[in-house]
Amino acid sequence: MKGSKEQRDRALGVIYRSNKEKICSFVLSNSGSEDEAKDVFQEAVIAFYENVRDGKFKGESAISTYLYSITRFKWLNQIKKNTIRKGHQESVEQDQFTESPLATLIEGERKAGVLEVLEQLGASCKKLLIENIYHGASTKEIANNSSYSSEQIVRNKKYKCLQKLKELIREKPALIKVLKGNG
Amino acid sequence: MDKDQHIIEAYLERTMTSEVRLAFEQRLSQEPALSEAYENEMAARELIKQAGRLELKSTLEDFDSQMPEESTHKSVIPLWAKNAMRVAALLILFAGVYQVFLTFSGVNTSEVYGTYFEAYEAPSVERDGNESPNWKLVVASYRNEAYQEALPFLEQSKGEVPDYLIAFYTGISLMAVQQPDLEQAVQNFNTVLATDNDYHQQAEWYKALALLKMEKVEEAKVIFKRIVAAKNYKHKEAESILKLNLK
Repeated sequence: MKGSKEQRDRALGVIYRSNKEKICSFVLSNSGSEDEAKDVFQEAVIAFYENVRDGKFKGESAISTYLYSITRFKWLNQIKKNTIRKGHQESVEQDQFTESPLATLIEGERKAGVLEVLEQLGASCKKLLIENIYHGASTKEIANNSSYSSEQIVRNKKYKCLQKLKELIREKPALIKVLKGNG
Repeated sequence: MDKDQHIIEAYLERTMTSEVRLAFEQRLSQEPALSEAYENEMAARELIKQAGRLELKSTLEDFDSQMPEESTHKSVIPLWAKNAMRVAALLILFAGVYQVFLTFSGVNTSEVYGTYFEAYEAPSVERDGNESPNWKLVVASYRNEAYQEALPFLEQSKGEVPDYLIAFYTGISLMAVQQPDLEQAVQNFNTVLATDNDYHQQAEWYKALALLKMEKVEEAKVIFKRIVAAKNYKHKEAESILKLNLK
């Protein structure tokens, strides 16, 4: 899955399409709705991608088995949380669980805060930082796969983008709190 | 780039020696300004991590919207499916009648190819005992009937799985794509046939079909006859083809 965005998406597309039905059927047959099945499967694909990127998935098991294990773990965990939440609501009559039930992806106000900062950051900075920091592409790879003429230009741009991002975050103390607690 | 920024980045990206790391960690506990800069860098990176996940989620949603609508519940057969089954039954009946018709009238090679060609069963990752990530993608694409997508992964699997296996599935994929490259497919089957492996019979059948489609009828017939004589893979189908009055 290393390479350009196009190559990455092509590989992920194959994995997604060939596993979705089989793996979602586990959630569906364990009292999940179609939307919940899709959400938990997508979370599993993201977790799988991050494990491949971080070298934690060594290819010792089939991709489908690996995805199934993540989905199963996430879904059983979710059922457990729902049960606790139900019991808690019944006794306290108060909903304190505002975060994403699946806990990997941010939701609600947090998501809105992140999206607002990204909007202000600008498309080129967003693209560069996501490629470098999230996907782990080196500045050299970014230079090779984009219109930047040299690795040094990518490094300079990355520095400027990070500075701008930190300034934008500094203006949102509530967001900083969330981000620092999310690491 | 300021010096602290550089060192924070190196620390987070784990590109410093353990000694330098320890020294940096000590500084972090003693210098509030550095500690604050470090926290801000972490917050910025966490935001980018979340942005990356949101972007990936959106890509997965795109894959989802491109997939054909299908229910994951299989216990109840909907009315449209029942109707489709009736149509399928009629088509099977029609195919039988059509086969008899083809035997007595002249038939062109493309029609025969269209009737008999179907992609070979997908390879098995487990059975072939292969852990190559590229091969897993070949298997996944092929199972998904995404033959065009399988081709680059087949190419990238070279050196990781036996050549004959790559050649065989490349040949099939080249036949199964929307714009088949039959000449290349035949070359790949020849590669399979040139070495000792378990795919000879299958490669012969597909090679003969490809030759038929290329209108090399006599060459194809020689192979079909060999398949029938040896009672090899698809010998009954080969026998049926030989009975046809090929144009």
